[in-house]
Amino acid sequence: MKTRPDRHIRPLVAALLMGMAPHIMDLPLWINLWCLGIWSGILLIDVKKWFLPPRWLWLILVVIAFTAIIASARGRFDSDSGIGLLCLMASLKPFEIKGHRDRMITLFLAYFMVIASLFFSSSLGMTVYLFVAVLVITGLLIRVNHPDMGLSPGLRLSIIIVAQAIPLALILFTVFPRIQGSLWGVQQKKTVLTGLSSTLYPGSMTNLVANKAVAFRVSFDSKIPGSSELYWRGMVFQMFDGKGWRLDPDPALASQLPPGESPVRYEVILEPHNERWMFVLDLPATFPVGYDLMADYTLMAKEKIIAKKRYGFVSNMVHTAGDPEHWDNRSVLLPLKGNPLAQALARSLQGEKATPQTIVDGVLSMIHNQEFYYSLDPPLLGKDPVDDFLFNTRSGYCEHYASAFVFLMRAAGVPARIVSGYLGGEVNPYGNYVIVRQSQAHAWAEVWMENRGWIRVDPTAAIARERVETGTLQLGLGNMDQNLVDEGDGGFFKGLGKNVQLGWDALNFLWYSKVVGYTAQSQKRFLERFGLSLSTLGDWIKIMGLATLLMGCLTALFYLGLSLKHRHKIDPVVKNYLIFLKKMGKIGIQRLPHEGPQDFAETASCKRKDLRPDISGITRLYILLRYAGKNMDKNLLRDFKDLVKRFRP
Amino acid sequence: MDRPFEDIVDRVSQVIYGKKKQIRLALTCLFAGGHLLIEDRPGIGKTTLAKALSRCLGLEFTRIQYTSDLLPADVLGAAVFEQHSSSFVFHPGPIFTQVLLADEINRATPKTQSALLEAMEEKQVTTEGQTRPLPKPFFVIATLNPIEQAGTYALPESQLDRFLLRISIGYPDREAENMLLRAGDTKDNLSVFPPMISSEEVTRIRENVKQVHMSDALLEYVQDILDFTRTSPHFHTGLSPRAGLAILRTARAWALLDGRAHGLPEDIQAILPYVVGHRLHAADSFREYTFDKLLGLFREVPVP
Repeated sequence: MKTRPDRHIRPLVAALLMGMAPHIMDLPLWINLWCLGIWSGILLIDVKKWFLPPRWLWLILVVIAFTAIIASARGRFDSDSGIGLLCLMASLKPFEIKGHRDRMITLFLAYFMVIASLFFSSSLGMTVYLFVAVLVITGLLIRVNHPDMGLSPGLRLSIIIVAQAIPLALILFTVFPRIQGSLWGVQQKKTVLTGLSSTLYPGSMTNLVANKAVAFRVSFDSKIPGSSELYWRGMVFQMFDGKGWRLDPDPALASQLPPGESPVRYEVILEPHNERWMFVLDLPATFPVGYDLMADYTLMAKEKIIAKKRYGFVSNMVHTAGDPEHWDNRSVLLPLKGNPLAQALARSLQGEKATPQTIVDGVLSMIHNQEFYYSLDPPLLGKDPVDDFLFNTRSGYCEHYASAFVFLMRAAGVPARIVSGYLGGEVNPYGNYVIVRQSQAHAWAEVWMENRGWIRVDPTAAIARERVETGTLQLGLGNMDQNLVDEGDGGFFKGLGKNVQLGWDALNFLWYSKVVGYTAQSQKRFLERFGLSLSTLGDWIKIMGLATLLMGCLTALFYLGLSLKHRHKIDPVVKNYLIFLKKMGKIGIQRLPHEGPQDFAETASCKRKDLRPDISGITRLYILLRYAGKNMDKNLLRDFKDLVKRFRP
Repeated sequence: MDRPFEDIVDRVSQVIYGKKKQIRLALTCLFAGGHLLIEDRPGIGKTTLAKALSRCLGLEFTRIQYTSDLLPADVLGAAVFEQHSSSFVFHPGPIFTQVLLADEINRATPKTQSALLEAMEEKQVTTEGQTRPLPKPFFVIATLNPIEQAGTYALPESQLDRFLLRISIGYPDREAENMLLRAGDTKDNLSVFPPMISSEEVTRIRENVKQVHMSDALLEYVQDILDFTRTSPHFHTGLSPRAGLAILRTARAWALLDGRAHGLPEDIQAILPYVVGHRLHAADSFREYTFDKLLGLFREVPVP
């Protein structure tokens, strides 16, 4: 039997397209081409009024799609293959649409495809798209059910329906038990992750210089500290192999906290970097819950961070004397061979009266006074990189300085180590939080001093300002104000673009910290604010009951409003006519229930000839408003109300 | 606003004195695209009414007198063998006209009755496997003699339902009778009637009738009326949805005849007894209600 495409095929295909759109970037190219090809085919058949291809062809396509997806999955059937299969089957769905039930199934399939995109992304942009897609698909659902309703009234109705669902969604969002971890163990889509690496060689950090990607965002509970104080501690390098630095392979957990004062509370939203380390301000003031605080005061997650991570922390901005974590032997270890000139220089710094402080000062003043340059494009270093840098090239990036400095310290017998992380950050004026980018990666040094503990020394900051290459000031030196001035100089449009970018970033930040980051803990905190505890199952049942009650009330209110609105709609005309009838009744002229307006006007006018003009005027307008379809005419209604008001029998 | 078709009513009144309401109802029925049943005795002016209407509207007119020996072929036409062409040629029956007066339809056998009634419903005739459309507009005025019942076949309810309106003309009042007697037989006047509008215009007016606005309040009124006949103990069976549509259709035409583009409760009240009179029966006796009784019953439905 030859059949034509369903008469609603166009809105249905449009709905499926809306559903597939968010997956385009995640799907293999052939699936995209397949879906678009099949859909344009069926639309062409519809436009040209051809018949649908025979059923066996459709079955063959189903088999091909299945085989192809199994072949491309290579035995690993994950969420990607699932979505691919979903899209392939959705592409063939239009062929078998016959009745209303099929149309409904297709539309719900489109909804499902839209929702499935949450597997991969919960970003604000995607959420905005989801909203739009749900609006459009609901509009198409209305169109399929009410084909005579225009496109824009249908869309308006869809907006109203979705808007009405928002309060219920908000209640469910705040109250429904939060399931920890990602849904069904589905991972967020892996992307190419950039960030600091676990080794530090001269030049290993320079590849981050031009990287404007965001490393993490921080909001502070109090005033944001100055950018030169924002040393974001990530890793500590202890092991030197003659050229570069490595992480401690067997780090110990911290047993005590470093002493300090002037604590700040802040919250970090860390972008995934596929490593365990997290970033905290120098120096931690609390033991974290759920993470490890290491003996070198770095913070480690229990597992690799593959999705955005949100954590709150407290740090002391001022380091006071004393340090419970004593240095161990590894902090003075150097290879026996290599870098002889640097070793000699270190020995020359050791004297009778030399203290760690004088050695540190000596090296810093050497960097400041001699011809040391700060450069993003330093020359390559030779076999003895420290010697080469200190006595030959004298030009480098932060890791060159940190590395050379720590080498000299250790050679002079002062325990020292390299800390890497980020320095500074850009304050987003729209959200009052700090954006830390990959380009702000930094490395600095820490030296051990008796009775004072580990002291932070930033050798890069010792370089004389005039020897810092222009345009690179913000890099590694993290001057926020400078940063903004530099970027803002690019003319009006660049400034505007920057502002739009910052505004969008602020919205995203809000989205992640308030919506995506609404975890079970935040839910507990939030509900406790209203005096609702969440410790036992009974509490949960109580809260769910409360939510059900709340939603019931909302629904009841909605219906009440609906009926009020409905009553209001027929009110003004009928109400005023009843007023008129009441006034007539007062002078003894009653309308019989079966009397139409014209008949009544006639009988009433016969009884009171003097009122004839008034009565006929009111009746004429009443008939126009109530029976001639002019009930939307505001002027007419006003005149009618006026006439009835002024009618004094 | 003036009544736009009053000149037609006036002209027809020149041959049927004092029956403006009936003329208007007949015109309403024609414009609403329905068929008219006139229940009255002979000699009241049924034929004159039909003839005068068709002449004024420029429509073709035929009359069939129904008798018990009338056959369907006598109404619809038949294929006749013609010797000179040696073939059967269809000779259209009297039904191929625009206005058909079917006189005393209850005298014919049910078979012949239904031949006409089917043609009325479908506006086409099928004989010997061939379907031929009837002219447009096609308007049937059927008459029934309510007094003489001997040798008649009463129309079943389902067939009566095909007529949009049922009216009776009734005796003229004294003044009209006087005029009639003075003027003598008016049939001769008919031949000099010039058409006042064309049949194309009739088709156009039928389209206009469909455009008459019936407000929600009015639909509610019609529904209340339908509900009333279905729930009230006065009626044997309530009105069908088709009857509801008939009420609306007739009220639209009536409003148009009154020069309005929107219906009023008064329109519905005016045509209601004529639309539902042959569709409703008393619950106890299964008789039809008289006109006045029906009017009184429907007063129980308030205008919303």
